[in-house]
Amino acid sequence: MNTLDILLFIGVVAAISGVSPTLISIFTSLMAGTLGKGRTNTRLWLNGIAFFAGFISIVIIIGVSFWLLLDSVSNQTAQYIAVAVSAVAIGAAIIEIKDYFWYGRGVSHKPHKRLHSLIHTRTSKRFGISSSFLLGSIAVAATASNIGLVIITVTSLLFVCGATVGISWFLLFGMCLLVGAFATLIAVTNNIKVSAVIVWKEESKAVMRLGSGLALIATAWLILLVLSHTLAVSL
Amino acid sequence: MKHIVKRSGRTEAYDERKLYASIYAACLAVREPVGAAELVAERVCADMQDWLKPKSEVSSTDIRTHATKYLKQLNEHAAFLYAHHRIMW
Repeated sequence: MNTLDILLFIGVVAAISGVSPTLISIFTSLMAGTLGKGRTNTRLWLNGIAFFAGFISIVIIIGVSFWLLLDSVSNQTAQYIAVAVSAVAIGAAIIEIKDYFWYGRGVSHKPHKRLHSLIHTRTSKRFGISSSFLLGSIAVAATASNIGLVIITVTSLLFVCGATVGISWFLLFGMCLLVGAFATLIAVTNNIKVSAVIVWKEESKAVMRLGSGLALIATAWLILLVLSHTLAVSL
Repeated sequence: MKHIVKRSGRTEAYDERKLYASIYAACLAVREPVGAAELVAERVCADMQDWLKPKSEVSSTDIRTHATKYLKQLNEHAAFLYAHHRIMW
């Protein structure tokens, strides 16, 4: 695998994981709240971009921090950490895939109650640009068990592949994670009703979970293939 | 005075302005023009007044259910947003 293959793989994984019911729900709530206050399309764009900036900032912080952690320990310890991350990712992926068949039953990826009420307040009472930026950051915490884990898993993959640390990797990765939210922003600013987006999200959320689970498994599997020298990578 | 029992169990006085504001916001969120949104919110509030007349205490869930029913007759998309105001994961 070369740099382009890895880039393509990470882009696809990020795009699939980013079409998350949780992330789309938070973003549509922001859009509905902004429109409900009688704001224009310009304000929708500003709030959307602020949300994306907040989201990407946290993706970069998590990615770079985890990278530095892996870089600060011995190579063998870093490899053990990567294996542990892969194991956790597979466990989380099984929960995601379970949601395809029995959505929300038993153990499921849901934000904590306190985070839920914080998001509810942010999407129903505050619609400033700084508030949208903060909401974007909170969205990463709300999706920690799926998108957060994808960030950690992809960082581990980049590390074991021997890529050099760079904010640009995570910037690109964060942008790919926002493909679903960006499509929502374009739809809403082009007069598609927020309720129609919510109906679409409700109808497809099980498939979104399945895709996210499979993407996590593929990333974890790739880490294990690279670590076992079954797959040669040249970055 | 009508009393509303909130989901948390807390009781507070019925405030029509809050209902009006949430219906109005739901209408604007589905790109209903301002004038139409005002009319819809007024109609729903008037219908709710009639429904509330014989009652002294109702739950906030009942209010939302009935307001959704009235709103659905006037604007289905706004009713959907109003009914699903809480984020669904």
